[in-house]
This record gives sequence, C-alpha cells and structure tokens, in this order.
Amino acid sequence: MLFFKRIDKTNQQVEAFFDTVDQALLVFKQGVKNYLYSEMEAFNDNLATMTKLESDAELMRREIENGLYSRTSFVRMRGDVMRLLERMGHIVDLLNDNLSQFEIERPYIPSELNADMLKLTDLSTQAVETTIPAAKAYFRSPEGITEKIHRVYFYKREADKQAKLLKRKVFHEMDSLKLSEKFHLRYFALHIEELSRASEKVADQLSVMSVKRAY
Amino acid sequence: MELAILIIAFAHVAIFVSRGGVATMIAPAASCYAAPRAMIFPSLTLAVVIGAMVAPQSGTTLSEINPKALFTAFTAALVAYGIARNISPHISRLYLVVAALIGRAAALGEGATIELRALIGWVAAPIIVFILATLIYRVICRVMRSSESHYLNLLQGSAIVISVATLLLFGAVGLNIGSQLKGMTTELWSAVAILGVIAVAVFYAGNKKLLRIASLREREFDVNPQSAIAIILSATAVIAFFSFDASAALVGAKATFISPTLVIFTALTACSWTQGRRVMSGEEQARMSVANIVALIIALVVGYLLSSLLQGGWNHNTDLRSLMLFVAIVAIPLLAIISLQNNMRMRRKSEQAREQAELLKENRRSLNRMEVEAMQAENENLRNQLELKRKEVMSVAMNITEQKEFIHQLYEKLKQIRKVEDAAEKDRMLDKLHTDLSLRMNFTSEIDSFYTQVEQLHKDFGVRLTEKFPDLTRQERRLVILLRLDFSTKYIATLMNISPKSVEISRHRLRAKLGLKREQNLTNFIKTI
Repeated sequence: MLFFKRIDKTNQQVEAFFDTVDQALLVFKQGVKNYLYSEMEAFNDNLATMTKLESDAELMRREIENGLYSRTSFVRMRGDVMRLLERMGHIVDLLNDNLSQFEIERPYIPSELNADMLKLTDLSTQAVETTIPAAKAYFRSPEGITEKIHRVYFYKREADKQAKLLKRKVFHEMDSLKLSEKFHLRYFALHIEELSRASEKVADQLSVMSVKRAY
Repeated sequence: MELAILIIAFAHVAIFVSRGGVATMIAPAASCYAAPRAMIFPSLTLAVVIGAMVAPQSGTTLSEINPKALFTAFTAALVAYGIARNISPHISRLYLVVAALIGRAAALGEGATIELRALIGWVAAPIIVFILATLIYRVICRVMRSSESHYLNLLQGSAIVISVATLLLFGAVGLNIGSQLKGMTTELWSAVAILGVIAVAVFYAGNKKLLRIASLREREFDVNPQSAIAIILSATAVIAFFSFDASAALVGAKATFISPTLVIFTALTACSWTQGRRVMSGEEQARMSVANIVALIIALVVGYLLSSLLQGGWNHNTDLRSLMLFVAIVAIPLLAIISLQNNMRMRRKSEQAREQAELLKENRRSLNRMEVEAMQAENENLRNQLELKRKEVMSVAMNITEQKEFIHQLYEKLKQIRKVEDAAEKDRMLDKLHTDLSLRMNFTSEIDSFYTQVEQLHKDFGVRLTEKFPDLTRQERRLVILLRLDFSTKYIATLMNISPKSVEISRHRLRAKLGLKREQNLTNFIKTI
C-alpha cells in the first residue's frame, strides 16, 4: 500500500501541473488584453504572476520526473508521460517568454488591430486549453483522447487562418505603418501563433500515446 | 557415480531445452516492466525448483529413461534443431527431446510410448491458451476502462501483478517438468530431476547472455501491461492445467510436457489478434510451423537411428524400420539439401550486405575526398584573396609614400621658384611644374594597379576572353572589363584617360571586332562570355 501512496503523490502533482498550465493560459490572455488597452499596471502584475507560474511549473515537472523515475517501473510509459509533461512545460515557457517580450520590446500595435490580435490570442490559447483535458484523459479515460485532440487541431487551424489574416492586414492595408513596425507586428503574431503549434505537438504526442496505451 | 552422470546428462538436456524458453518466459514482463533484472533470475529459478519439488506424480508421456536415453535424445534434438533453425529459429526444443525419446523407444521395440491422450494435450494446449488469453485480455481492458483509478496507479498495480504472475509461470513450468519426471521414474529419478533443475537454476542465475536473448525477444513482445498480464496468466494456467492428470482429463487428455515457448507465442498471437494487429507476417508464421514439423520429424528419425546404432543392429519392427530407412534415405538428404540451400542463401544475403556496406563505405570515402577537394579549392581561393588584399595594402602603402614624396618635391620646387628673381626663369620653372602636375594627374600607376586587381579578380573571364577573341588589343581588353563591370561611359573615360566621345568610338570599334549585329547589346554580350 505504501507503493500506491507514493504514486498518489505523483498523481496529485501531475494534476496540479496541468492546473498550473491552465492558470498560465488565463494570465497570458489577460496580460495581452491589458497590454493592448494600455493597462500597464495590470499588465505588470500579470507578468509577475506568469513568472511565478512558470517557475512553479518547472519545479513541479522536475518533482514529477523524480517521482516517475523512483516510483514507477514501466520504462516506455514513463518516457511517454515525461515527454508529454516536457511539451506542456514548454508551452508555459512560451507563454512567459511572449509576455516578457511584450514588456521588453513594447511593440506598437494600432488600436484597429486590437480585435484581431485578441482573436488570435484567444484561438491560440484555446488550442492549448483543449490539450489539457486531453492530457488528463490519458490518465483517466484514454478512449476520450481522440475526440478531445480533434478540437486542438481545429483551433490550431483557426489560429493559423487568423494569423494570416492579421499579417495580410498589416502588410496590405496599413500603409501608415513603417516597415520596421510591420515586421515587429508580424514577429509578435508569429510568437502567439507558436502557442497553437506547440499545442499541436502535444496533441500529436497524445495521439501516439493513446495508441500505445491501447496496444 | 551413476547419480553424478545422471545429473550432468539431465542438466545438459534441461539447459538445451530451456535455453530459448527462459528468455521467452521473461520477455512479456521484461518488455514493459523494468524490475531490477539481477534480482529476477534467482527468484524465478527458485520458483522452478519449488514447482518441481511440489509437483505431483502424474501419468507420464514417456517410459523410464537413463543416461544413454538422455544422450540420444539430446543429440537427436540438437541435430534436428541445428537443421530446422535455418527455416525459423522459433522451435519448441522440449518437443524435440520428447520426439527423440519416442524415436528411441520405437527403435528399442518398446513401441511408441506416446499416448494419444498426450497428443490431444499438445493440440489442446495452444487452443485453450488462445481462448484464455483473449478472454483475460478483454476482462483486464474492461476492468481498466471502468476503473476510475489514475493511470499511474494502474501501472503500479500491473507491475505487481506481472511480477507475481511471472513467478507463478516459472513455478508452473517447474510443476509441469517435475510431475512428468516423477511419473516417469523411480525415487532416484525424482532426486536426479530436482538436482538437475537446481543445476539449471544455478546456470541461469545472473546469466548475462540470457539477458541479451531476453532483450532481443522484446522486439517481438512489444506489448502493453494488459497484454503482458493476459499472456503470462493464460500460459501459467495452461501449463499448470496439463501438469495434473485430473485436470487434463477434463479435455480428454493426460498430463504431459507443455512447451512454454509455444503457449506464450500463442497467447501473444491471441492478444495481438484481439487488438487487430499481427505479431509476425504470414510467411514468418508458415516458416515457424514448417520448422517445428520438420524438426520433430528429424528428431524422431535421428533418435531412432542413433538408438538402433547404439543397440547394435536393426532387429526391431521391420515395417517401422523400412519406414525409418525410407525417411533416412529420402528425407534426411532432402533436409540437408534444404539446409544447405538455406545456408547458401543466407551467405549470399550476408555477401550482398557486405558488398552494400563496402559500396557505402566507398561512397562515403569519395564524398569525403570531394569534400576535401572542395575545401582545398576554397582554401586556395581564400589564399588568393588574401594575396590580393596584401597587394592592395602594399599598393596603398606605396601610394601614400609616393604621394608624400611627390608633395614634398612640390613643396621644395615651389620654395625654389619663390627664391628665383628672374621672371623668365620663374616662368620656365612654373611651366615645368605644370607639366609635372599634368602628368601626375593621369594617375597612370594607380590605373595600372586597378587593372591588375580587376584582372586578378576576373582571371577566368580574362582567359575566356583571350581564347575567344585573341586579336583584341590591351586597350580593348580593358574596355571589355570595364563594360563588364557596368561602369558608365563617363567613368570609363576617366579610368582610360580619354574623352567620353573616344569611349563611344572605342565601343563602336569593339562591337565590330567582336562581330556583333546591330540589335545585339554589347554589355549583355560581354557578360555571356
């Protein structure tokens, strides 16, 4: 029974890790919104929270890895779970990096782009958000994974479309912007889009893991 | 002494029989569960010993055997395995030994000791294990699906079940062997059997080679924990089932030897079939079946022939002897030919593989050589560039010195002119100074240096130009180079120290010399040279 108790601790940590990723997503969304509407004080609070969440997630991931190594014996499954956690951890890193870049580079975003930028942020974060129930399903009800990861791919495609729309608008319609400003905006759009790409990788990984779990 | 010989003989047979089997028995657990392997072998071998010791005495498949019988069985099984493994390595060695002993019994006129009920057991075992493995797999999947437990908990639970089930599997194998050996002989034989099993246990405890074989088997047993549990439990159940006469009688069979390799592979096939995938290709399966049948026939024949020879003549059942002789004359050479062909094919394959490897090595070598050559050419180019730069620096330095010297001379001359009182002399000296300055303004040396550098940079072009148009003068060659560099007429005029009008005339003459038509563009033509 001691065996199971020790594993329970790791299980709880895994759940807490996913919750942290979820929380980081909310903070990121709020942070981008605050930046776009020039709420710099609130934005700085978001940034501080995000930094803390990132370091918490990193710490949790390491603890889970230690737990998996010392308390479980299934090499292949262990490797898969750790890869999944690494990919999710990478998403938190991306969220923190993106928010920090907003703070450091202070990109000039014309107010007429606010709606597009927010939509892109929403779609990208939704793609990540949907990976969380899929990842949780791997541990509880693997038969639900396929259905959940379909949503990830859907939001990823939508985020791609929105990013293209935004970039086209910046380069074709906004003649008042300098080329350097256009490049800067494109760079930020790419960074936000990167989140949906990272979620696609998590979905791919989950898809393989669900097949491996079944066979 | 006799006991010692018996133990050694038995141990040899047991090691031969269990060599592939032990690795296969560990494989389902080893493929998904990483328990410290150093601990596995002592505990598993102990399970076999305990199984053999507690085994009941069952009706035996074979009659009493002795060292001579063991020797015959071992040799015949070894020969059969050696030949048939060319077709497929997945052969049940236990059945080979049994087949060789049957051949020996026939040769000695004891009649075929194998009973129909034992044969029923051998046929029923794979069928039962297939059904059982499928059922267990489905039940485990259903339980896991309906369970609300976390996956890591399920894995941990599976690890415990797999460990216990593997121990039970080894115990069941010990039970199966023990029950047969005890039924086969007297108490002396029981002691021999147990001591033999202990010898095998000692042989396998911490055997590194076996670990390697087990890890090779993992490729075939790439299974999830549910499958591993289903395979191990169903194999354990079936082996234990055929270790007791009472249970075996339920399917109309009797207790008999059951090959763990056979039942485990069958259980694996069942689990894979349930999942809708195949463990091995149809060709591999066919080869495995053929190899097992061929090996059994060879073991039977070799066992018979060897025993007859050891007994000193052919004085037994004539019909059977004729049959055996026929098999010996036709089948064995045939199998030898097949084996030879197989060996030759393998050799050809390995030869092809070696040739391919050689070709690959050669390609790599030539690729390396090309890389080295490219690198050398690059180095040469860089050296040339360096030389050019060095010359440029030298030229700049010399130019500075020359200019400084010229300015100094100018200064001295002006000083002298200022001192001259005579107006005519002053005019003469000023005229001379004017001429000197005019000459200087032509920048002859600088222009020469410029052309040298340009020619150095476009060495290849210069060579091609000379080859195609050898009649061009030095001045025309320079014009070609300047046109190729897209210089304007004005700039060319300055560099060539002529007027722009003269440049136009020179261009016209050059067109004529190059044989250009009216519609052809001179600069574009030069660029294509």
